Parts: sequence; C-alpha cells; structure tokens
Amino acid sequence: MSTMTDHRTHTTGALVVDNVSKSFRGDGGLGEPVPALGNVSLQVDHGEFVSLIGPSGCGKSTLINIAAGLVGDYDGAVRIHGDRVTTPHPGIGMVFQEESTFPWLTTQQNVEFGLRMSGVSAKERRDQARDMIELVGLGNAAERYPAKLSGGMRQRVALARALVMEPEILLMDEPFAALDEQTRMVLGEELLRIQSKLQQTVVFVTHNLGEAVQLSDRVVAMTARPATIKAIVEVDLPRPRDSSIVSSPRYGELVAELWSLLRDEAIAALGERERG
Amino acid sequence: MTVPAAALDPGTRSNRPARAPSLSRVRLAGVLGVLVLWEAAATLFARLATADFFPHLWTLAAAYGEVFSSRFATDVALTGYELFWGLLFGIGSGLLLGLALGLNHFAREIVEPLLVYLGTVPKIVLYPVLLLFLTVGVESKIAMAALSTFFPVVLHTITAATEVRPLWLSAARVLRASALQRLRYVYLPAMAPSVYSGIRLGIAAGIIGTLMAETKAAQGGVGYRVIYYYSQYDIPEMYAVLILVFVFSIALASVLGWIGRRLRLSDSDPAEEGALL
Ligand SMILES: Nc1ncnc2c1ncn2[C@@H]1O[C@H](COP(=O)(O)OP(=O)(O)OP(=O)(O)O)[C@@H](O)[C@H]1O
Ligand SMILES: [Mg+2]
Repeated sequence: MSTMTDHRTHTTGALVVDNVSKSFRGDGGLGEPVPALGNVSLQVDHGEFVSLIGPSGCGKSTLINIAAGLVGDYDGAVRIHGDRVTTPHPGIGMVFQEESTFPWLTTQQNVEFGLRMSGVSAKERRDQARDMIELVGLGNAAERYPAKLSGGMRQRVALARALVMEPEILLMDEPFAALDEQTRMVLGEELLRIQSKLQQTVVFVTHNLGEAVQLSDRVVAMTARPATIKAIVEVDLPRPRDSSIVSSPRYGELVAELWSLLRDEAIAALGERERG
Repeated sequence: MTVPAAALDPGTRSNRPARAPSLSRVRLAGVLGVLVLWEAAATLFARLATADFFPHLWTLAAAYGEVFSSRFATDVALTGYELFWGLLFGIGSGLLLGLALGLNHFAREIVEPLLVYLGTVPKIVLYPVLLLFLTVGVESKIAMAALSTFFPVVLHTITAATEVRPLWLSAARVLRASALQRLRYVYLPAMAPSVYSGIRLGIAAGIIGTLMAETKAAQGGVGYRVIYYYSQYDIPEMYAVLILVFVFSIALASVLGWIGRRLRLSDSDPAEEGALL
C-alpha cells in the first residue's frame, strides 16, 4: 500500500523540466513564430502523480510531447535520468490526446505492439496483453478492430497499450476525456492502483478539475498561451484514495481553489480566440 | 422488448450462412436473365434485319467449336505473356516511384500533379509512338500494358504514403519501434489497402490497354482474334471470344476481391469489384 509519504521518499526528480520554451511557426513555417510554451520549469519526483491543467490551447500537449521525445527542437531541457530528451526515452509510456490506436490491428494486437517491438515472446506478450485488456474492461472486445469500437473503448485500448509496457514514467494527455463519468472513476482508481504498485511517475493532463484532485499529489495550473506555471497546488488528501474521496470537504475546497486559479486564464484564452 | 445481444451484433457469423445461398441464387437468376434477354434480342433482330448482329444462342454455342479448333490457345498464351510482363513492369515501377514520392514531400509536390494529369490521358493515344519505337510485336503490347498499369498504381501508392498518420508513427516510436520496425509494422500495413486497390485498378487498366493495343495493330492475341473475326464477318465467333473475355474479367475481379478480403485489404462487396475491372 502506498501513502503520501511513500511517494515522497525518493526525491531524485524522475522528470525534470528546466526552463522549457517552444514556439511554432504558423503558415507552413513562413509566418511569425507563435509561442506555445514560455519558460516552464517543473520537477516531478519518482513515483509522483502530477496533473497539468490549463485553458485549451495553452500548450499542455506541447509540453507532454516534448517530454515524450517527439519534439526534438525546443529550448531549455527536459531531463530523464539527467539526459536531455530529444528522442523517446525507453522508460516512458504515453497515452495521446487524439485517437492513436492502429486500425489494422485488433485490440489484442494493439496492446501487444510495444511488447512485440521489444522482442517479447509470442506467448508471454499474449498473456500480458490479455491481462491488461481485462483490466481496462475490454475482455470481450479483444479480437475486434478499432473501427468496431466506441471512442471510449479505443481510448482504453491506447491506455492498455501504454500500461502493458510498465513504463517508469507515464505521460497521459487527457486519457479519459472520451469516457463517461462512471468509467472515468473506475479507470482512475485502477490507474492509481497500478501506479502505486509499480511506483510509476505520472504526468497527467486533464480538463477535469475533480479528476486532477482525485488522482494527483500535485496539480500544476498553467496560464493561457504561451503557457507558464501559474501555481502548483499540493493535494493533501490521504492515500490510498478511491472515488468516495469526492464527498470529502477537502476535495471540494481543492477543486474550488483550482477553479479560482483557472477562471481568469480561461476567460483570457476565450477572449484571445474571439479576437482571432 | 428484449432482443438477444447476438442478434444485434453485426460481427456474429450467424447471418452469413443465411445470406450466401440467396446471393448465389440471385447471381444464377442474373445469368439466366441475360441469356433470355439475349435470345429475345436475337429473335427480334432476326425479324427486323437480315444481318445477324445478334446470333441465336445455339449459333453462339456452335461458334465455340470453331474458336477452340483454331489457334485460339496460342492467342491466349500470347496475351497472357504480354500481360504478365506488362503488369510486372507497371506494378513494379508504380510501387517504387510511388514510395519514393510518397516519402519525399518535396519531390512529390513537383511530380504528383504531372502524374495526375498524365494519368487522365487515355494511354492508347500513345500507342502509335510505342509502335514506332518497339515495332508491332509483343514489346509494344508489354509497354502498353505497363503504361496503363503504372498510373493507378503510382497514384494510389503516393496517396497511401501520405495517409500514414504521423500520430501512428509517434505512437510506434514511444512503443520502442525502430525505424525499420516502423516501416514494417506501421507504413506497410497502413498503406496496404490503398496500394492494393491501386494494383487492382492497375491490372484492370493493363488488361484494357493490352486488348485495345491488340485490336489496333498486332500479329496475334485475344484482342487481335476479336478484330480478325470481325473483319471476316464471323460475328458469332467474335461474340464467343468477347464473352470469354468478360467471363475472365469477372473471374479475375472476384479472385482479387477474395484475396483482398482474406488479407483484410478491402471489405468491398462484389458489386464494387465489378466496377473495378
Ligand atoms: N504543430 C504545430 N504547429 C503550429 N502550432 C501548433 C502546433 N502544435 C500546437 N500548436 C499551437 O500551440 C498552442 C498549444 O497547443 P497544445 O496542443 O499544446 O495545447 P493544449 O494545451 O494541449 O490544448 P488542449 O487542452 O485544447 O488540448 C496552440 O495555440 C496550438 O495552435
Ligand atoms: Mg492538448
């Protein structure tokens, strides 16, 4: 069983974000550079669960993609085990914001993909994938192709595909956004259970403030674009947690605190969009 | 009202056996219908005109005896030879260039529009040029088949390469796939359906191109045989060969469709396959 103190025993910084900035050039590389991230610094400890919240379009996915090693060209440094990340580190797993399952593979084959790439034997990867598929509740959809699954089911395939690799660092970009509230709650609990068992470090992007509080050790609130860190809120709720936590008064206070932090940023982001 | 879950699931096999016999019955009825219509048209024509544009079914049947006792097998072998090499060159070059252009954004921007425009030109207009360079023998037919096959294959391959979503490649990279593994396990399966339909269209175009060329200028082959019977005014024999060509095309289309479905490269229904070839 994992508790708050367990999470804080190793404070070596599994993932270090050091003054990271990123600009995109619009219009196929010809336009003015548009800043998406502005000087973000953050240290995520080993075994810690950190959520990122912030207005839409502020740069959360950009930060996650840089950490995943999918964006080679950025300023500053994201470090894993001291190395600056420019290509995917073998210890990371990722769940993408958009639909990323392979449509030519069944659920089972999708979940086996990473194991197969690392040369795990056919029998072993079948069993491991099978267990993970059961865990995310897709037991009776194992032989189906993504086209025959709902959006939420596909997202669970992507989740299982990442979890089965037992990554040391798990980057999750709104993994539960396409799910209904009940499934979200159940999978959230399951994620916490796996995460504490494997002592995984998780960076989790969400728009759901309640979800952020329920799952996280710390919640990072970001400003409108270019994203910088506005505030970091410590979630001092006891672990292990389950979904009954939502009825505790402290939970309500924390959600309210996050909302007051984000409110102005959300309005700012909306205003910017209206101006074009 | 409660419905058993299995009855709602389109994936269950239970509705297959019920459908298959009725489909083959429909096909059989279609063939019979065509025969009846043919005979009706033949009777009508016999009344209206002296010319036998529409031979009776029994005349047609007798014509097959004449066709098969001629050197028809040699014609089939010749056309088969031309098609084999033509399709091989056409598909091979189409795949290679398609891949090269699909993976190279800059080159594609320049060359693809050119290919699109050239692709819409009926290749038969180039046949005189091919004749000029390659003489009236098999070489000009092989070139014609290759040219006809090339365009659908190259265009579909380019499209297939550009349809590989970057997100799939990112997902594969994070799942520790090397560059070679991404080629084998992402590019290949992602591109296969589109490439396969390009190949099917290419084969259809290649057959058309070869037969057309044979009707224009040739010393043998199935197309040559049709035009020969026509020029001799052996109308029943002409129809007999044409019908064989139709039957072959339909058979080939269903075989290619079946292969596609077996390899999960297409799930098109038989009606679409008819349109492809
Ligand atoms: N490849 C790109 N090229 C140009 N601009 C980009 C690119 N990717 C992101 N951007 C821009 O960078 C900004 C941040 O995008 P990002 O996807 O990181 O936002 P986000 O915080 O994840 O938003 P959401 O919550 O809606 O997913 C946006 O304004 C977006 O338009
Ligand atoms: Mg995002």
